[in-house]
Amino acid sequence: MNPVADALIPIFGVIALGWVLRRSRLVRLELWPGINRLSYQALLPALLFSTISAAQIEGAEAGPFLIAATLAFLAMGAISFAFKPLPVDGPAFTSLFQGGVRWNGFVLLALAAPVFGSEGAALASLAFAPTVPIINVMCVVVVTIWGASDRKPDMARVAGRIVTNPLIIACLAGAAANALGWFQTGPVADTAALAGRAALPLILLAIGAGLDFSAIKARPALLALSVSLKLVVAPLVFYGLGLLFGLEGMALVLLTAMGATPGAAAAYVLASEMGGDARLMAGHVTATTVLAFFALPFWIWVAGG
Amino acid sequence: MSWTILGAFLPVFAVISIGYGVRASGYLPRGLWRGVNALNHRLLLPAFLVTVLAGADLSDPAAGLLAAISAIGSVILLTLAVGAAFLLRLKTASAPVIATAVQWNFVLTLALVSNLAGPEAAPLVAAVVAPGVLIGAVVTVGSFAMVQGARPAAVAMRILRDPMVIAALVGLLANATGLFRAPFLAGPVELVGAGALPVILLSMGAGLDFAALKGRILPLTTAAVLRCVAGPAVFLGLAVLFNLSGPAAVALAIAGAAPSAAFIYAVAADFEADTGLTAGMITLTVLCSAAVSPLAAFLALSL
Repeated sequence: MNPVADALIPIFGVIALGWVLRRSRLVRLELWPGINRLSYQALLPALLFSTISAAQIEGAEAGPFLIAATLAFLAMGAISFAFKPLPVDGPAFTSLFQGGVRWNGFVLLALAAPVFGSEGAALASLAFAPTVPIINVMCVVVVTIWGASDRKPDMARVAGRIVTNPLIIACLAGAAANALGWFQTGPVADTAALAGRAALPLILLAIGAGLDFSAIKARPALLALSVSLKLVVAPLVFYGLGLLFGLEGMALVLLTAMGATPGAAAAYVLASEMGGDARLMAGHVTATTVLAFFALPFWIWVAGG
Repeated sequence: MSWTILGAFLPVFAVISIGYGVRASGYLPRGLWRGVNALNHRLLLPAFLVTVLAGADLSDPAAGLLAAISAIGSVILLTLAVGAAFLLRLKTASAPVIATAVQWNFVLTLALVSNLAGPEAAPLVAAVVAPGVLIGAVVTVGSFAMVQGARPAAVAMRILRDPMVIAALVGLLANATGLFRAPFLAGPVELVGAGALPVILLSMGAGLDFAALKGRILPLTTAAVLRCVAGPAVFLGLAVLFNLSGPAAVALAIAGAAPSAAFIYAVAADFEADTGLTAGMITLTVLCSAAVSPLAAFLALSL
């Protein structure tokens, strides 16, 4: 088997296992928030810090990669926004927008190390730092304006949450440690590496536990559009911008794969809390997660030439 | 004590401390750990055990001898624990005391031996773990069931339904048949198993309950002495008796001095037994083990 298939089978196997655990009530629905909190707030920051701080990153390659990735998400925001004239209600539009913009970086992180090596894993990790704030700001603004909720967000609180986001802090701390040559070995590096090892399996299980196949039937035409935006248009945009910025080899393939990742569960949370179409969002996350099993290897093959 | 031992123990106990810190600080409050603990007991620990046992080369005669010594050690500890529970008239507290004495923490043992002796020691640790976990899980479930007054058939059914017993049997079966050579089966289990270690260590830390150490001095002290004094003495004694040295002796010494397995708390909760006392015993053995296990490792490395 090729390395992409070798890496994807366990990833999607663990996602399926998470779904089975929740459906069979071996780990009941109400128990998953604790698992999510531990994964995203403690283990994932440790993984990002550990990966970035120890990586051998060529600055000349990381710069264009990060600029292309950031511009690609902004471009997806513009493309998704262009669908505003469609005759759909505001909440549905916000979910379409989130579907086009949000990405599940954790599937890419799990794929990056076995397929692209430690440098690929570090580039994938670094991409969180500039993209998490940009994506969150775009989505919060759109859902605030066109969502159905009367509850308007406290923008200072949103900004505060972005600044104190553990993922962003971990990326920046890891980059600083890498640049200064700190914590390359020793107890801090060992402890972060040990704690970080659990992040991806737990997050993949949580992704599986969150899948809702009944939601796929809701608004099929809009769902088809949002899935196409995520798994067809986004990879093309990321690939095109990669070529434009002169990326090649591993960096170009990784950037394209970033575009082909499934939708993120965070989109469902925002839609539920702020008046988006949560059902459409749940269907989008479920459908893109399943279809990414085919889309990711396809786009990696396209970008790899 | 050498820097090698310190370097092996520090990250492991640091992760346990982080687990305690994030729970005690309220960053991840106690209620949210219920899901993590359920995932641990029903998936992560069994997956980790299956991965360890399925992948180990147990055909080596040295592995067979080590497995037999590990089983003898567990039986000696079981005898000591039952004797102590009887002599001290511990009654319902007998179950957690016996479980604490016999069911040592195999996850911590694997992590520490791997740090100390390198990955080449993996088959030896697996040989120590296989009988230790199987005997420990059977004794743990059996003792809680018997203290509750369950009939022998019901006790047997509870033992056969325990996730750790099932995982140990599946792991050994997979080892014998090569069942997990198929990537679609092995891949997900290995990915989950690889992430299990830190979550289990964090959960151990989050489960530490210092308030549970107040009162009940007799059962708490009995459990701690059995696990942290008798345990290393028995296992190191067996290593000397069978003339073992190197990674084999280290694996036995760490297994003997490891704290009790945190999942006995889940078993106590399943049986609606005294979870407070069980939490106290786990906490006390973690603290004692932090002091005793480096010493046990040092002695084993000197053999």
